[in-house]
Amino acid sequence: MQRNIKKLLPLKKASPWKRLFAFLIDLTIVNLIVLQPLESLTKKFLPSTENFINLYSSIASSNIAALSIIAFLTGILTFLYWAILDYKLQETPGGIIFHLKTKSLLNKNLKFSQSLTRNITKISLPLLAIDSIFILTTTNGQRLFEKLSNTITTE
Amino acid sequence: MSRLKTIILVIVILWIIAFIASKLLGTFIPERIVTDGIAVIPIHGEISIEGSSITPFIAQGASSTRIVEDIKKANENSGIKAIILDINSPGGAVVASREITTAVKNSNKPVIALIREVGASGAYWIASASDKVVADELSITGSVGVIASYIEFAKFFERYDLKYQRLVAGELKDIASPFKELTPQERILFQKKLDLIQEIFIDDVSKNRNLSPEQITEIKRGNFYLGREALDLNLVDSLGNKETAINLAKELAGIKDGSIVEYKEKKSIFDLFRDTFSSLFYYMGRGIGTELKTVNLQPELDIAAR
Repeated sequence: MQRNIKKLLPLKKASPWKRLFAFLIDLTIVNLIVLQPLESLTKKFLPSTENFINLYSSIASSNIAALSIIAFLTGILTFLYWAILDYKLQETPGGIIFHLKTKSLLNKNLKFSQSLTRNITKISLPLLAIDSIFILTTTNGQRLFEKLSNTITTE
Repeated sequence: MSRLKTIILVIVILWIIAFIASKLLGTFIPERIVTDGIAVIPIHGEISIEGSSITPFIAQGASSTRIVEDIKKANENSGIKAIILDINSPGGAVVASREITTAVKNSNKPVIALIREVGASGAYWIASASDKVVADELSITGSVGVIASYIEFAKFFERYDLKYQRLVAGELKDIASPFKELTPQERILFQKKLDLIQEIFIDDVSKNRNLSPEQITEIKRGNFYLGREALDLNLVDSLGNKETAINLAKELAGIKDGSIVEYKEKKSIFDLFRDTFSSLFYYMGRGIGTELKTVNLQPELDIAAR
């Protein structure tokens, strides 16, 4: 592990700000294109009202199962976007703009299992937020699941 | 594969998965969440139990099974405050029309019937059960009667030496068969049935609309009326259009703004093919008919005569 990290030392650890903006660009792509077919379905299940109290009570009394399935599907598609692109290209469109790349600490090439593990928290934004807090605590700016998958994001 | 191609491919594949999933989910979970909703349920075409036609290639009519189910769903949805029946139908089967009428009467929400081009016979029966009926000035409505006419082929068969072999157990089993003459006794029996159906029909409509004895006598003739005439006969409550019906619905439901929820009939891929073929066959027939009319057969007949 130490030898692997030393090999990567010439590569700059990715700046958290660049990672954040790259993430936002990718999230925009996911929301505008990939999740676009689910938009009409989501609208069907979100009541058309400007009153927050009515909105909350409508959601609370409505088809929770349907909303849960839509939320789960959204999470899975978001996760797959990052997992597949990280595995195939070691970068995403947002990463390309900010010159960010995903590297494996164990092997020359990134394995699919590593890509799945490092991106699993992208199923849910709150989970990703908790995962990202670890960037502040690690020396090489890794999220928790990046550490667990033995991968790193570099510039 | 280049980087750009890979990115585009991944995005496209994920989009397709999202598209298929949304269609599947939409099929299984059709109910939209609304707060102050007004359900619009279409009753278009000839009314029958299944809304089916003779062949799979002719467009479907209004299915009482589907409409009763839609009314039930609207009643169970706490977000729906009123129901509008969007009627454009010449009527149809007796039992099917009655099923819908009963569902309308048992509805726990205000129901407004909007008669578009036509809302006659069975379709008017359904409208009469609503809390309010709105029609255009020129809509066709009324026709409170029963019809069972048919073409009798008995003489036609005689002319071409065809014979109807009557094999029945039960003297009246083949009553009103088009292949034999209707006997006077059979006519009287059949007419009694039609009169009974009309009696029930008129009775229900007159109760629904609080008709006077004079008005009942008038509509008993089975005449159809334009919207304006129907208003004078108390068969409709107001003249107007969809906007009028929506405003009435809001008034009866006591809501200020209402979101419209269209209860459209779900069409399968087969239904789309059927509707396409229906139009196609119609125009093919029309085209062939026009061709036959314009082709001058006289020269061939002259040659044959010589």
